[in-house]
Amino acid sequence: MPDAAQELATVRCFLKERLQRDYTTLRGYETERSNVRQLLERTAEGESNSLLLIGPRGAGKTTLINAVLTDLMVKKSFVDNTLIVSLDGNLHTDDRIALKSITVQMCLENVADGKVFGSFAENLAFLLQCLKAGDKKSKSVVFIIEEFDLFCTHHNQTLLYNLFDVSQSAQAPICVIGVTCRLDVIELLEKRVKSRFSHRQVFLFPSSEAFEEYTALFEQLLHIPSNKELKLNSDRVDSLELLKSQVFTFHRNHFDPVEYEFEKKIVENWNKHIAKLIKLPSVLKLLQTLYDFDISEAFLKTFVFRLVAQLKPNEPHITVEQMAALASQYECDDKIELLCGLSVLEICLIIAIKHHSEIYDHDPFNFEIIFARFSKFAKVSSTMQNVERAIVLKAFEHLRIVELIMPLSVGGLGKVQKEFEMHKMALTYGQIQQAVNKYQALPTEVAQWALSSLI
Amino acid sequence: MEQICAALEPQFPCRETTIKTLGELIGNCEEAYPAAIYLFGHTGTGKSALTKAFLQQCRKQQKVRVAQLNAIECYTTKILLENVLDALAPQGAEETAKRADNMLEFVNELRRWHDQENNSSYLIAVDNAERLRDMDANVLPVLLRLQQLTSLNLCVLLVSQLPFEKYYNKTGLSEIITLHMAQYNKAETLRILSADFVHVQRQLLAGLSGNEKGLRKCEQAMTPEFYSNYLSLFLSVFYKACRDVPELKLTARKCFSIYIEPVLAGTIEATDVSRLWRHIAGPLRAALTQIYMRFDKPADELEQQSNESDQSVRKLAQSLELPYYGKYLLIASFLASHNSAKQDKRLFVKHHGKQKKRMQTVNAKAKTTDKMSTTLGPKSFSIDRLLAIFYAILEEKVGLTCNLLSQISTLVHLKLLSFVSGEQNIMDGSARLQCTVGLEFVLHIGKVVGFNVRQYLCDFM
Amino acid sequence: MDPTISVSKGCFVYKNNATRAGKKTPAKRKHSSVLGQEITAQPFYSAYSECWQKLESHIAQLQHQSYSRTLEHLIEYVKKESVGIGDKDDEILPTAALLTGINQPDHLNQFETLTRRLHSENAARVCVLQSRDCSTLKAAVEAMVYNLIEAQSAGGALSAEELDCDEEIERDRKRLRRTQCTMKQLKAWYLNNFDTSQNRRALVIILPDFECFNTAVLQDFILILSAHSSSLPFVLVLGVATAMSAVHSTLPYHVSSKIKLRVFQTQPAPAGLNEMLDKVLLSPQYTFHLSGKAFKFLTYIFLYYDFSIQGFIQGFKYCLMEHYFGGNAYALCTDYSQALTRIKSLTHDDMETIRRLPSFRPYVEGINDCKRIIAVLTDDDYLKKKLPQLLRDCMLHFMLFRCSLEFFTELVHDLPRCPLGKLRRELYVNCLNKPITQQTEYKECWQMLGFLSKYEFVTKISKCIACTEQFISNDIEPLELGDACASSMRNQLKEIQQLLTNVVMATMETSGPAATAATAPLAGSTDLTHVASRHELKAQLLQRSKQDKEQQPTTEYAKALQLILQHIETHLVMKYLRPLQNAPPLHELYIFSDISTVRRNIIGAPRAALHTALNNPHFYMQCKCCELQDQSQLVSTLPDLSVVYKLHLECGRMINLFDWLQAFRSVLRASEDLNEDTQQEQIDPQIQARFTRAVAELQFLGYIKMSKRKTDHATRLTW
Repeated sequence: MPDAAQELATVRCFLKERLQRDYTTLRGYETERSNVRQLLERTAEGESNSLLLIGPRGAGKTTLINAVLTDLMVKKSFVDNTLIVSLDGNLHTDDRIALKSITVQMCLENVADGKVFGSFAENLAFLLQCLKAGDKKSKSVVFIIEEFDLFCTHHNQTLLYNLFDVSQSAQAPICVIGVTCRLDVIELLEKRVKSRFSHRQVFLFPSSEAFEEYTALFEQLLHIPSNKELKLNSDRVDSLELLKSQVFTFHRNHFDPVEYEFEKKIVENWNKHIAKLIKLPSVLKLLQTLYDFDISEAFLKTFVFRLVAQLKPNEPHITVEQMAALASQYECDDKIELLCGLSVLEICLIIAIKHHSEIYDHDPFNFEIIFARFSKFAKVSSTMQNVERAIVLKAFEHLRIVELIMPLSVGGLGKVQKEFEMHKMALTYGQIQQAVNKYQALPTEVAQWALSSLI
Repeated sequence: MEQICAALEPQFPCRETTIKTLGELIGNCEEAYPAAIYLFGHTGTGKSALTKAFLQQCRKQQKVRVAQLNAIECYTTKILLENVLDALAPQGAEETAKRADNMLEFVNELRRWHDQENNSSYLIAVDNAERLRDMDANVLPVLLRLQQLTSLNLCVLLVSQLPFEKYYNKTGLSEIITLHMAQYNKAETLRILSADFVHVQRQLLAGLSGNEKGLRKCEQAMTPEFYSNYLSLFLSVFYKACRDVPELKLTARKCFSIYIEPVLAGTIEATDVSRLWRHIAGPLRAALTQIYMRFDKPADELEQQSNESDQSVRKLAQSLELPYYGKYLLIASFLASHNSAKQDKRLFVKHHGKQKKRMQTVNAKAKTTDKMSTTLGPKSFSIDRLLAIFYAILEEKVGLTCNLLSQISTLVHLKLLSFVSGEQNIMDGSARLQCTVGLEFVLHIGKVVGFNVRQYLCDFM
Repeated sequence: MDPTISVSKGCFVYKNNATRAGKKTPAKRKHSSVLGQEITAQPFYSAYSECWQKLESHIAQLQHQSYSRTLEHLIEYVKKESVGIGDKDDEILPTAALLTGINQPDHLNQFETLTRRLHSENAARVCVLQSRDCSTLKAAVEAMVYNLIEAQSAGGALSAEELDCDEEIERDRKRLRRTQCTMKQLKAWYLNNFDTSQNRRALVIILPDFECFNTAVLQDFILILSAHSSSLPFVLVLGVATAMSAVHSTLPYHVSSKIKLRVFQTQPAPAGLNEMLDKVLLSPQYTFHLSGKAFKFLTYIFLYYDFSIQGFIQGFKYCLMEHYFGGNAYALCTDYSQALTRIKSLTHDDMETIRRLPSFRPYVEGINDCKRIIAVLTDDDYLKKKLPQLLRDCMLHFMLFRCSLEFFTELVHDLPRCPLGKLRRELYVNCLNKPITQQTEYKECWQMLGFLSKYEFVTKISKCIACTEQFISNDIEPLELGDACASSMRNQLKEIQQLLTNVVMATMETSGPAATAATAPLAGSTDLTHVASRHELKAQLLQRSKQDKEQQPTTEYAKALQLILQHIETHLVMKYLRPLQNAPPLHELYIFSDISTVRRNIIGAPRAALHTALNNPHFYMQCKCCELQDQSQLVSTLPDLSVVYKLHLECGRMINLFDWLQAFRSVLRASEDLNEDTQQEQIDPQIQARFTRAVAELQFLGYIKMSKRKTDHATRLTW
């Protein structure tokens, strides 16, 4: 029945989009959220301030800020007398670029259709003078600086210095919010900069013993809301439109629930199914492993995304098997996968390397050494006889290309000839042993050799 | 998405799972793309080809804008960015729209497009992605977060040979979906190779066009099972040394002509596998020494070049024509870089006092083979020492002329010697060279000029 | 912007061939007039230049044909690849590895010819990448793209469609800066110029000096090319100096799996040299010859030092100059007819130079009429009358020499262990240096010839005759004086021929003594029957065997063989293959033998020169002040540098500066008597300054280096 397929498609589409493009719904972190929110509100009332938001990747730092902004967007006062400038350390790789984009975002006079003129010094002077000109009454500016740590590497940290300086002195009210995933970020600041920074820091750490929340989150991500929930959610999103900045763009194709319309029964039995799924002990076990693997929300999202992607008309529901298969993909070790893809010859080399580094505990090795060891084995073995040295060398190089072994000196090409260039092993004995066991149709003698170095 | 998979599966046998997964993730351009996909596996597993074909299908069937680029080619970030822009730009975009000096401009450009025409989707595939690590620090993170930054429905596919863990830096990277393309197992390899049958047959017939009986014989001899028999023989020799399918394919084609020739000649029946095996075994083993070498020769030359290659080093030593003194210089340099300077007196001076056996020297004798200097590689030496040894081992007297000195530089040019340090200050004797040729090579050179190298090597006494 | 425009204009002009030719010729003229008018006008110079021109053109043509074969294969391969590239989808780069010899400079022009050929046939666009342009990947790619796009019209004649595509290129180039030379650019350019099926071109990239490339760059470069090879028909040509293994040692697995190699072998350098020697230097059509020593010397340089044919040619040219610049008398070293005309223009002192030739003396002594002797020695005109005859004899001698050399070579070159050497040049040297018949190797040869079986021998001799015949008819007869030489040579051959027939006949009938030997046993056997004692029997057997022994050599065949060998020796070897010292008079005019000057000027010996300069400054400075009785002597008047140098020669590896200074001072003081107090009183700063300066200079020359380990000690860098 086509319409069912249709429905399924919309469900899949909806879930995917919500997983991928919902930048503004933050779960948990109530205190931090309110904390930041109050800060911003006070800024809107004309108080300068500065803050660092610190947390590991995928913890939801950016989401938090977005969420807070979205909350504030409904407040007329905030929208009117704040100006939001967002910078990203990856994009604004030096102060000159950063400064230009600031001037653009603040729509200052010397901007002509998105182009900024004048030297760095001029622009900086101009900007500062603009900020000085203002006082408590004038519009307050919120600087949101992603990848804050990268800005610390800029020359003299000029920009940071000036921003913090302004935020200290009684000029136009500004608020500097730095977002970073480096805990030691404070140490990166120069003394003069550090002294001007109000040491206000907010840490985001996903808690590692909240498995219930994790499962709840899992259910939430898969849960399809009823239509009226959609409604109010969509209003909230619409309010984002007020945020007018051509750089600060997460709202552009933020997912908008308004397009979606679900039949009651479908929603019900989908959600029911999910609820049932969650109850299953096997599923819980899977989730537990995932949770041990990585506790961040982003990780779970990608996992769920891939689950959802597998929905098809002929398998309209998420099954335990699918989850198990997917989870196993996360568990298995890429390197072992690669090892199993090698030819027997290359495996032999790996084994030779293993023996060498066992005997001379982790001494570096070069091709000659390994080749000598290998050919000892080749003499007695039946499979590995009459393999040309040149071929073995190629195999060795292949290992190096796949970076199962790494040269000691970086860029060592040229000076030393490659037969003699020293390498170290980028594998553990455990991995090698597993690979040997896992390898399809490995000659027994090779397996034997892997176990004991004596031939 | 179904059509795409349907179009691809015949092209790529044994890759159904990967195609399916890709189809699920980016098969449908109405649905949201994931931010980034990482596709890795060994060479010759068809990563690049598959991605390429997949993107082409997307472009054809769903009007998705695709950009495919090779990271090696992008030796500056600018080139990378501009190539992407160039490929993705909406038609009728003026040249200036395709310029980007830095990341910011690049991202802004993309953002602008969002205003111009929304709900079109973009795919960017980067081959040899491991090179991205060597580029500017911000390239990789931005690519991974490009969807969020540009707010376009956009996905970046990274294709590489390395596991993704090799990319981690100290601040970590944002989430990415990794897909592994497993190496083909033996059965799959066999299947893929036998898919080559038609091509081989066509070649064969084309080659035989002209003589009738040859054609007829070929017609009835050249059957799929005949070919698959051949392939199983072939794999039994090659599979252990090489699993790279394109490589195998090439070699298989090369050797097949030898395999079938007696059948065409009528000396062996097409059904008599054992005799065919006896016939082919030699050439196959010979070809095994040639694998990876990519010598592209007409089949008739194959066996003669293979049997010349098995003593390749001797061949080389003879084929490499050096002037007489050049040869001696080479030998001298080898001795210089594989003996310690302390030994020189003992080795080269006629009447050195008989060295007394001290305990330590006895111990030195008992050194393990893999600590021999010939395996640990050459040490460096100064030009003066080289010349001294040269004169010591050369019987006749020869003037130290600039022709002789220029020989040294010639050897350096030929990469037989190489500078270790001090290329620029050769004037004061601080420049140091080392000899880059192997032992057996020098042994052969020595044979040619009638000089026993071994007896001058510390390792062998 | 401006430079590129101007460049494009320049190329516009260049595209017309006529103008380019016009540009070149005046340059050549200017070049040749480096020497002043007064020299170029001289007859000897004209003789020299024409001789050199002939030789040069001959050599060039020879070399061309020597590697044209490889060239053909290469071009044909390139064409095939460029056609076949359309259908293949996998990214495999067709690569031709050209195994050139180790002497890279020699082979550059080879690649140039390749380029020219490809352009002229409109088969491909070619770009030659030197390793020096490719220090980084960026540089390499840019250089390649730039050359491919810019370097058109190098192909000389351009067909119509080529022309209009050049218009395209003009337009491209308007906005082509070095930095925008990317693969993208190249692709675009190729698409709008060539991608139509009828004029599809290969893009040939030539790396003439493969070994010199930075490996990392090379690998990436190849990877890039192969990645594009599906859309752009690249063909890579590697000039490999050493061997194929070099290629695989530079290209690891992931790169070599992207190319397919076709190996092309060029003629090895020594073979090339031999060919050139046989065809050019030893050819009778040139009246100029090298003496055995000079010849050997040049080949020696080639074989022992550098396999550089160019170098060899230059050396030869030098000999040529050296020879002709000996004076106008040497202008006679040319064709006979010309020589006759030249004789008239000879001045008195030219005649004197001729009289001063060493081989003139025996000639004079040979004359037994004192009046004529005086005439020859004093009267120029008389000598001039005599000259033509003398010259004629000389030339004839050399021709005959050459012919018999041909014969002789054929005779001995394939004997076991070839004692006299297997190559024509070796024999040439041997014969010229000393009377060959006295050499032991020669005797050995003769023995071996004796041992040959009849069949072998006959075939050999007849082969000798045949190829000599051929040589005569091909090379000798076209020359003037050729007939004379040919006739006398032919007579020789005839005699040998019929001697040979004797040999053939000889074996037909069983020879007399052999017959008696045949009958003797019968008789012997008869009386053997009634022999009394074992004693007699033994005696009889003994003497019978003796009989056999002395009968053995006296067969007809052996006699005939001895005869013919005898004849060859006397009439061919003795007569014609004479060593230089008893060559006909005035042969110095034709043979260059002044080896010492050549050696001094061709091979520089920097260290030796430096040593002499420092050890014995007088040698160069020719000043009164520092003439030395013996080398080791130390004189205060010597330059400080050389004093310091000589002192440091006496020291060991480490030199204590203070002792050195003392020695230096004592040397300088040697002149005025030094008594105790002067010894004690400390060094006067001037001397110290001079010393320091000298040491600094010595260090600059690279003899010493201040040691870091021991304070105020210097290390010797030479011994």
